[in-house]
Amino acid sequence: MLASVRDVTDELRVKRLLAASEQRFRLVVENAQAIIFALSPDGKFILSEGKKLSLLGLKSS
Amino acid sequence: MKGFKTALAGEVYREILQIENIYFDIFYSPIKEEETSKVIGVIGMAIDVTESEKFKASLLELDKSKSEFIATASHQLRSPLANIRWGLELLQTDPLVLANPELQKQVESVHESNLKVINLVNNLLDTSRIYSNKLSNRPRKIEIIKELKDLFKNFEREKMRLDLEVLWNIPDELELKVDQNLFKVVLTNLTANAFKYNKKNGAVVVFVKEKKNFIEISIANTGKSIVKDEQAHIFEKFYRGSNVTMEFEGTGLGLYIASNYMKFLG
Repeated sequence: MLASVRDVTDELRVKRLLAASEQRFRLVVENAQAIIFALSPDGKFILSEGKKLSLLGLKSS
Repeated sequence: MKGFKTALAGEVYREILQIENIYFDIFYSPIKEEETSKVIGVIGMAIDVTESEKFKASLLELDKSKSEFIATASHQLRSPLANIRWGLELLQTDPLVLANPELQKQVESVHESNLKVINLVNNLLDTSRIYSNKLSNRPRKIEIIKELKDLFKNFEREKMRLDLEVLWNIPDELELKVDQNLFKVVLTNLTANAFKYNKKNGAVVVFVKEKKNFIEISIANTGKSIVKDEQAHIFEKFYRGSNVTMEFEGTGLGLYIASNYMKFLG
């Protein structure tokens, strides 16, 4: 039997940090009493978030 | 679209946009690549400002109605006030009045009050014209020295009241192409201040000089100076200096009108 052991402590820590950061970002933009959006250079929506999207009958993407 | 294009060109842009019945205050900013500063997209934020926009619109509407009311009221007041003035001036020369010093004093007092109201109504009318952009500029050649001399004749009463001396430092003749009505209001308001805020036995100094590209006109007096810190505010609407005591009646509109007319005349 051959076993390979790799220390993934750092990797997992970074993943957890990234997930937490992503979660924080989501919480902020989803709960903002505004519409937050981002457009690509060719004018396509790449992000639209925020509570006020409902005013336009839209949902977050 | 303009916001998107402006942000894509690297600038921040802000606009109020109406979508159906909702007003949005929208900010567009460029998303720049950290290392190259190249714009790789646009980020925006839209805030619902429907309530404040509607409030603003109702205030503007209210303000417009107020201005229209002031313009109409002052216009309607002018004719009867002018009639009263003519009547009083006629009365001042009536033998019955001339023979009775007490009556003469009373007629004089009513005449003075009438002139104050005429002045106030004119100020209101001038202000409402500025406010509603109803000024028209019809420049024509005028003889500035003659204008000033004629204008000063209207201030004989004020001159006598404080025993003032008028000192003229002017050329014999000088032509200027300007809208006569507006320019006359400017000169009248400056001259009125020079006489009103003066001291007993003081002077009003008129200085006119042709410079390279303009004509310098100065109407100075020997009254109290305006406090230095307040000098920046003298052209503001309803502003009156802190050292102006109750004896000087006024609206704080004269210099506001004068400066706005001068701006309008260019």
